[in-house]
Amino acid sequence: MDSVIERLHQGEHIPERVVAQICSLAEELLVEESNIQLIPTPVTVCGDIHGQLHDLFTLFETGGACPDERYLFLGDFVDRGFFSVETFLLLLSLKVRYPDRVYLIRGNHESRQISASYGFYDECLRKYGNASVWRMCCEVFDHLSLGALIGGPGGVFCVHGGLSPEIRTMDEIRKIDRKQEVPHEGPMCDLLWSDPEDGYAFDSVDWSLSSRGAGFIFGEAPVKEFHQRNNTTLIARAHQLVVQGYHEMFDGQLVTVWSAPNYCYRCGNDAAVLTIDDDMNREYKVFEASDHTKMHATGQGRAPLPQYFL
Amino acid sequence: MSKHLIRQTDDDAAGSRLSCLKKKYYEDKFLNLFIQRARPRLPLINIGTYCRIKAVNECIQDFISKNREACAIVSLGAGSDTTPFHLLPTHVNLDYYEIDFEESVAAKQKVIDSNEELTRIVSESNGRYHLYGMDLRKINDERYNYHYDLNKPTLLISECCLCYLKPQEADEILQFFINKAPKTSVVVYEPLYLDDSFGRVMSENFAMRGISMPTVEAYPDLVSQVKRFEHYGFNKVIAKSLFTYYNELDKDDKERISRLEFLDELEEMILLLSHYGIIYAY
Ligand SMILES: C[S@@+](CC[C@H](N)C(=O)[O-])C[C@H]1O[C@@H](n2cnc3c(N)ncnc32)[C@H](O)[C@@H]1O
Ligand SMILES: [Mn+2]
Repeated sequence: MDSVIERLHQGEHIPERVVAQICSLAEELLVEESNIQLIPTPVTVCGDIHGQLHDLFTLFETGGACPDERYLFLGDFVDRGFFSVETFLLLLSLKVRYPDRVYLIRGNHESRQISASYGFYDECLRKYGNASVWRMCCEVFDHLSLGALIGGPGGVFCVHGGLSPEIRTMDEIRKIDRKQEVPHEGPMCDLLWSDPEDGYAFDSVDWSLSSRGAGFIFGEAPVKEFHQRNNTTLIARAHQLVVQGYHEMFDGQLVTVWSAPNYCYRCGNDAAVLTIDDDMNREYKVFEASDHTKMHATGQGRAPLPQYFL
Repeated sequence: MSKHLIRQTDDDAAGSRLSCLKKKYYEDKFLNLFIQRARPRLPLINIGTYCRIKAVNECIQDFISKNREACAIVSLGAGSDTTPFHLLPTHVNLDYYEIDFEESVAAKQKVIDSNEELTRIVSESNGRYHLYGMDLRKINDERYNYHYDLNKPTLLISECCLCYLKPQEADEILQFFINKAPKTSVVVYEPLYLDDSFGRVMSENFAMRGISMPTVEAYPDLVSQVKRFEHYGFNKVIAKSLFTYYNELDKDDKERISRLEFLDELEEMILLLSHYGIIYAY
């Protein structure tokens, strides 16, 4: 494993046979995990990475090396960026090598349908000449857990997207049969797709349909209720680009953490990670795009330039 | 910016339309004649392209409905736009002028000539359709002394065309038509805010493709765009970002397009759509 991790850092190609090994080792570990993993403090929570491998290196420089620091990644490891394969393999390898220092949960891009149209599938084809690596990774996706609880009672509920109108308690999440492709609707879909929005509490509208085509938009009231019912104090989620890297809402009851700087080599945004210490204090660390991303942004890489309207 | 690169921007625009059409955002029975293949665009590009097409169309419809007796449309940098072929048969008092580089115009003419329906539409328009090939920067050059009958309400359209020119060039072109047409309206669609963090990355990415937009630097935001057209003496100047336009889509339509594809990132779409503006002056 150490050599794979090293090779990924060097930007080397990982042969299909090795990918198969990593995937099967990872599956063995992930299958044992509950839908909501319990994670001790201190831990650093990271949002979407989206195949921006070189920014993931910067993330580790910012938050502290792994395994020295404990990490939770909130999903969306793949798609959009040009190094989804390497990013996902690095995170999986770290998980296999340091199971209690690295935690991974599922994002909406860890699905066959989404990753087939947003870049990961094409990248696998390009780098391996066939779809078997993509298929193996999708099998792993089905094993990823759906959420995490940091610090036990009074702690932080972590999820990729947000809440679901069909879910009141964490126990209901624990009962979901997660080992499947992400459905188009229902609680599992909502956890991975929903977004919070300010202002809904005042309109007395708690839930509305999302223009993403899946999940819901939820206001402050459902967040408050969730905290009361589940004895939690913060929802940490990712899924939405935040230009400053992180954004607290509802008087600090929810935070969005975004960890892909200059997202898609297009957005010009900062990225952040959130460290929760033993006293449940929050510390945000902001970082910028690595030079490599900047290089891609300026098109010196081999990858296609981002699309605009001309 | 080289002529070749400027002309190529139409392939990109047409490709986006085709992607948008294939995903069923809108319909256009003529588009396929001009472009047969395009790599699929991201959902946010499809949504933006849809809004752009719809926004420009709404301005056109508004203009025509106010001037049913007689009117003209002049499309600057028309590229492979199919709008005239939809409008000419049903609006018998409309004259349509399309201008683009000679090579682009020749390619368009070839498509028209090789298709029965387009040929018929053009011939049945009885000379109301005009396709002029020239570099717009030579608008005052006598060699391009094309005929324009604009003594009637006239709508000038620049859908991502003038933005590639220098502000003085764009001004000269606008002024030329405003002088020719006593009653002019204008609809302009072009990028905005190239000076914020998203916009800076955007211009860097454009620069890598050899694309520059000097006019956008001169009119960096909606406020300066409004001033730009007030300066020509228009009574009313409506300037909206494409994102505002998206937001104002009627509920059913918004819901319909939200069901066509999964949109993975709303904020990215908001950022991108906020960096384009539709300006309608009359
Ligand atoms: C981005 S395309 C837009 C095409 C079409 N208006 C649309 O929105 O789909 C820009 C078009 O403007 C034309 N154009 C740009 N500068 C021009 C100039 N100086 N003279 C003539 N045409 C020009 C290009 O050839 C190209 O067809
Ligand atoms: Mn997501």
